[in-house]
Amino acid sequence: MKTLKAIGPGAFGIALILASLLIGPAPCPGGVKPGGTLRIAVYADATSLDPGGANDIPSQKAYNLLFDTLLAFDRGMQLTGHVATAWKASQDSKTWTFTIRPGITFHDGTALAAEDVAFSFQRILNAPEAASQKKSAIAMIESIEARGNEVIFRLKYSFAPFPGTTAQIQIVPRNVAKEVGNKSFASRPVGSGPFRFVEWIKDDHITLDRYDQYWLKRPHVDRVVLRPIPEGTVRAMSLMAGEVDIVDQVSSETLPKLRGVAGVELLTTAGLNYYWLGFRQYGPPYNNLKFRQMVYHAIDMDGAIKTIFPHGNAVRAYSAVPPLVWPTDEKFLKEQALPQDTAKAKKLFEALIAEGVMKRDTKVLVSMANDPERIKLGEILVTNLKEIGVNAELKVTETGSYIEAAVKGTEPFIYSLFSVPRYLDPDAIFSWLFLSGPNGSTHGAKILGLAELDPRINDAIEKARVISDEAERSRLYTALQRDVLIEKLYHIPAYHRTIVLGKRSAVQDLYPAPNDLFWLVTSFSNVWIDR
Amino acid sequence: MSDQAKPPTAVSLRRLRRYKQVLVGAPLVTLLLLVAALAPILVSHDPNALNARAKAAPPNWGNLLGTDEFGRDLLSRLVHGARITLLVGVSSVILAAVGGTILGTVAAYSGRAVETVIMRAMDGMLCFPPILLGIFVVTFLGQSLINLILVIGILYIPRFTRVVHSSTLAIRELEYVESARALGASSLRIIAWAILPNILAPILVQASLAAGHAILLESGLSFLGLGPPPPTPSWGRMVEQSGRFMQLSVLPLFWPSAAISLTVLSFNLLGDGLRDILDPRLRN
Repeated sequence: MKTLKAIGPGAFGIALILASLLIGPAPCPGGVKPGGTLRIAVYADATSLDPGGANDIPSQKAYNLLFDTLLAFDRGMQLTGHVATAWKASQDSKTWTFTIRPGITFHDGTALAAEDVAFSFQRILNAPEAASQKKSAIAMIESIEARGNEVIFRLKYSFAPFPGTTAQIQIVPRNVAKEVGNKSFASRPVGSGPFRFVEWIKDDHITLDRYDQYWLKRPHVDRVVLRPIPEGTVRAMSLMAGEVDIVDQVSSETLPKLRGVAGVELLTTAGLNYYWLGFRQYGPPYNNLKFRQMVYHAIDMDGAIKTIFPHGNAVRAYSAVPPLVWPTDEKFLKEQALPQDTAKAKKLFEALIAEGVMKRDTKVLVSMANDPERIKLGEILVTNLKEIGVNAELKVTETGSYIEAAVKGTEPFIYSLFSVPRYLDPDAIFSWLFLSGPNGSTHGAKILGLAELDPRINDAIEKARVISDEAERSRLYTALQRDVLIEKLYHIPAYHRTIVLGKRSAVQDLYPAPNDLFWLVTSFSNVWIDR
Repeated sequence: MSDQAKPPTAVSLRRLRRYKQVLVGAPLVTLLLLVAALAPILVSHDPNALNARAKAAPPNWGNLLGTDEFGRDLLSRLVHGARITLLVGVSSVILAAVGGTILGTVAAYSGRAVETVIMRAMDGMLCFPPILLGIFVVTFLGQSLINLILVIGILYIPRFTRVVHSSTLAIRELEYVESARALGASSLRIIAWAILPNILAPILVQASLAAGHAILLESGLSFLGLGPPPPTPSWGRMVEQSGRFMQLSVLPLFWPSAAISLTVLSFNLLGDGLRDILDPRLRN
């Protein structure tokens, strides 16, 4: 008994240790397993990791993980405070004051201050025209002042949607950026985001490591590797084989295959984008309304979308305003959209010939960038036009030179492009698509050749952006959209692509983002891998 | 028993029988040419007609090979695609043969300097990868049937130039050419009446072999999206489009691939067979 008593507590202790060994280390709350490498296949490599240097989606996808912005989006794409804890406007919406959150550090350990915010905006404003596409988005800023923990923006004119524009300007550490210069900064970016830069082997991979001191929350995954895989089929196969954990832009031909694979899940959300067929107004017959009506009556858009997206990766667009953005005028625009009507199209064709706008054999050029989906759209349009007797021809150009020719050239043709609004405000859509002149974008209006055509469009956009009353703005944008899409028919709205992410089932707490970026560590999520 | 005892036609026929390759190749080529020529009669569907109700349909009575994702009849596209493929193959080879013959005889008949310039230029062209040159030219001149024919035709000129050059060099030293020259015939007359008829055999062999290669190159360029612009039916483009759906259905990929292989094979068989028959050194 004595001996037993003596060893009693010892045996109990050993049993406890054994038991704890069997159970393993105490799990994190909610069963989250931290650690591991998250491998993501992206459809294209970044062009620059300097947020002031590139604005294309693949670059944004990468640098969005490295940097923070004043405001960010929540799951419903509503603006929330991020680096800024509060923001307020003056009476006339011309002066905006943002309060900076204390205690945020950059990856090099220095604290994020109001001066860094001011510097990051100023840096883009100072950039030469071509270097920063973001410049036109914040061109309304007249001066920026850092005062204590506040940043004060003074605008050239009242601009109600200003907070939205700040969600796309990433904050860089002024000391680092000044010291190393823009070129070096792009090759070794330092931010304050959830991940810090490790290495970038162009066209092979970008490696990012967890930033333990991230102010919002500590990221669960240790490492993120972005691998560009341009071919949709190859992306899908890598996911099926388990070589990657997440793939973006699941293509319509791989969708049905992925749907049935065990261990693979698809995440879908309405996409914040707008694809359209446009007419370059640089010459006849493209600048003739009857011609545009003829094309609209000729194309079977519903059939085309079913052909291009047999598994529903897109919905037909009737409006330039993508889902999630106001004003919604879908019902009216849908009623007014011209249906496929071969007889009417033929009649219009005859009228155009009779009026001398075009000849029976005038070549109608449909020019598409080298994107399989839009090539199909072009192929269907050309076939539909040939059915009514028009001598239509499809030309396919490599994407880079396509945009270059469209922006710099003055050749008229039917084209197709897409836009993703940079902030959730109609101004982001209409100023990009239709505004020309000093405050206009470099792309949309230039491609359309609108500069000399209709100064009233410019006036309407400039008027709508300075008003603060949302109902009044909504009325103006609705009228503007009806004018350009129904009366003038500058665009034939084509489709809004659905965002489809593919992921391994082991990837947890991942949400698809309507703006097509990766939401890995946000106020509402923190991705982890259940391995 | 010698060949001289029989009429020439009988000789050729008997020789033909000995060379099975031609017996397979020639009818296949003829069949392909017939299919291309009679395309609108053979198939009732318009190869470009879209059919929203029958997309990516499997083979059925209305569409014997099924339809593509646009609802277009695959058989019609395949048959009409034969027209494009053969048109490009044959016309580019004719272009190359004419160009090569002119350059080859000029090189063989003019002075050393001209010969060196022409033949070294041909060597240079031969080093250039054909697909790369094709991509280059189509990118700058634009996509069209004519450009495709021009590119492929020009690419194959060096082959003909070399064959014609060496054959002409050999023949111009023969006695009958010498005698023609002694009688005062001009160079042009000698080339036209004494040399060309005698180098026709190697040109013919080269032509049928080159046609096969030209068709392969055309399909390759179309596959890369550099062929005649869509919706023109083209085999290479059909392979490219259906290849993306390979995991869902294989048949739409099989038909154009098989058509390309069969066409190239029949031209190669014909070419090889013709060479065996026409080259005296290979006769026994």
